[in-house]
Amino acid sequence: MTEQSILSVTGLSKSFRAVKAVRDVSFSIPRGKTFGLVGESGSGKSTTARLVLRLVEPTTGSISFRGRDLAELAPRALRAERRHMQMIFQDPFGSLNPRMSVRETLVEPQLVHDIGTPSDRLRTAERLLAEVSLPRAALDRFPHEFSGGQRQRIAIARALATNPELIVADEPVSALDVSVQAQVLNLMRDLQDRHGTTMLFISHDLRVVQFMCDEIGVMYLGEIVEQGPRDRIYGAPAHPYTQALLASAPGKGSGQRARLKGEIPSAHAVPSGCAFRTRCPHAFDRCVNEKPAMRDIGGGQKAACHLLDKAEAA
Amino acid sequence: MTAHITPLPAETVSPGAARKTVLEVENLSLAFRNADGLLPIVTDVSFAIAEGEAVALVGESGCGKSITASAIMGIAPDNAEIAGNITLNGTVISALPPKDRRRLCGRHMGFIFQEPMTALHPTLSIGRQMTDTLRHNLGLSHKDATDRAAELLDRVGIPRARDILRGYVHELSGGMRQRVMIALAISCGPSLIIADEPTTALDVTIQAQVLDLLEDMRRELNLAMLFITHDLEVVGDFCEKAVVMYAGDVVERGFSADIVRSPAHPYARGLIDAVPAHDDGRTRLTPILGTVPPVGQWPEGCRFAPRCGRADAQCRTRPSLERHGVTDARCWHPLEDRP
Repeated sequence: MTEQSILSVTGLSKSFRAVKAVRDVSFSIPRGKTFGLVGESGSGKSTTARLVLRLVEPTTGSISFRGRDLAELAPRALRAERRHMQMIFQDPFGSLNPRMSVRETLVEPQLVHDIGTPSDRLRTAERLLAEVSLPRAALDRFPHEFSGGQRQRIAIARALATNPELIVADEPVSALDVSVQAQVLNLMRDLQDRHGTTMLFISHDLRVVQFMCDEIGVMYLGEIVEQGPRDRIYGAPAHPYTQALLASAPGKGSGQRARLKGEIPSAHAVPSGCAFRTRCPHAFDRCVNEKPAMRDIGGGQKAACHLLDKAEAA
Repeated sequence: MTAHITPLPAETVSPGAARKTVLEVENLSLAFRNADGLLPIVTDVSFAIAEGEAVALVGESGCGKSITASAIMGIAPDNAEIAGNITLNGTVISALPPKDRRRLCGRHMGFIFQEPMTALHPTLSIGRQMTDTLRHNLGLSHKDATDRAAELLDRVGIPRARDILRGYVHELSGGMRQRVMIALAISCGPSLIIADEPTTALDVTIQAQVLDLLEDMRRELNLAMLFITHDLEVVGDFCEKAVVMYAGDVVERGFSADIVRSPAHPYARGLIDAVPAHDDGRTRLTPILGTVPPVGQWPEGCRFAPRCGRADAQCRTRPSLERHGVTDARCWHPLEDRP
């Protein structure tokens, strides 16, 4: 697509039997940039992350990564390609193997992808540890000996071990206290600057997404309802859901707050037409009958809402 | 700055009518008895809440905020040694025998926990849990209790209240469960609500709904509210006063607006700076260096000193909580360049 996208996802969908978890998601990420997916629980952002890595098989759609369609790759070729994409998970307590020392944790991915000699691998492990600001003495310790923030640093070091081009980070700081969260976010930005890694960053926290991401996709009930450059999304949100999400965030002062009614519907029973209409303060009859198409509204911003047609017609 | 020179604690938003103090905590300390002796968890915590007022207890994990709340509720673990006074509506409840305390607190305190799935009973119907509470504390008949329960559910915005009464917690969404908790908390007409991270597990649009509901309830019922949270932004929006805790200590205390805008304590400042703010264009955050010391391994003197950029030799002795400008802070070198 534009510039030089390292990852380009088109029409990605995933159904678990009757549950349509992800519906027709498309986005692309230029090399070295961070794309953020933001949304509430059940919006399909984590499933999208797993689809991109093909940890979950997509129902339909294509995932073009480094010029190849991951969705089409045979298992062996996919495994080889995985070297170039790594993941950081939310829970640093569950995502590290408790029986593996930090040294083993950092050497393992290199071993799997047959990178370097044993002494190279060890040197890489030592270098990675230094990069995430942990002492060399940590090599022989086990995950339970570290705090949450330190574990997340180990998880980041492990993700970097194969020198990947894409890192998918699913809520990487949600389990951390704010002071530690700031350390980890800074670290991720430092490493990205240094290595030029491309990142798909998933979070429910609007402030964290704003800080980390160049481009943002807002998800609701399995779909991207709005996407665009960070400053457009936060400065001039076009979709009523994005507007409501931003208005609901704490720290905006109380009173006169626009509130969404109700809760996110079940993915078993996605509303007809626009999926957001049941909670939308502006919904009208067209929203029931017709699904709004994603439309360009300039400045790289796109949104799927019938109101945009109205605004244009007026 | 001049606008803030109203240091009388009881006098806040409603000038004229002095508000009655509902909860007063004085020099509360809590330590766990274990094989090696006493392990201090919370030291010297003091604050007061007036009717209709929300006070936030803020801090990161392990700072002692939840255990402080459990000491007030009287549900601290058995091996906890508690010192200091807790006064509820003029009665020193910390000195009462457990049975009397339960009787008093059951009626006059309501609790809202972070995880309603574990705080509510999974195999008792919602109606049963609510009517049990009402019958026990208020001595209502079964029918009256049921009517009142339905009324309460309706009041907290739960549709089809009568049907929900027959249902179970697992059938509800997170936001609805939290509404049931709120209904239960206000059911016996309490004067104090203690809410421990009530919206942390919720999505942001639902969090906003629940915060609005809590605020409505507080205003309508003139409730005193102790709001335990790690999120300073929620504090600024929702609470008039705040008590910031670090490593078992109160490090700063005052009006939320003052603390959020211009804290005196470097830790409070650090907490604010560590949060990615809305649209301030930073490319790096300002983290607090190091980590929170583990319980029982607190440094001598000021407990924040090892992580503090302003620390010097004086910080090896313990500072007391004193007024600096518009707030109280436990610091030898409070921030003065306050706008």
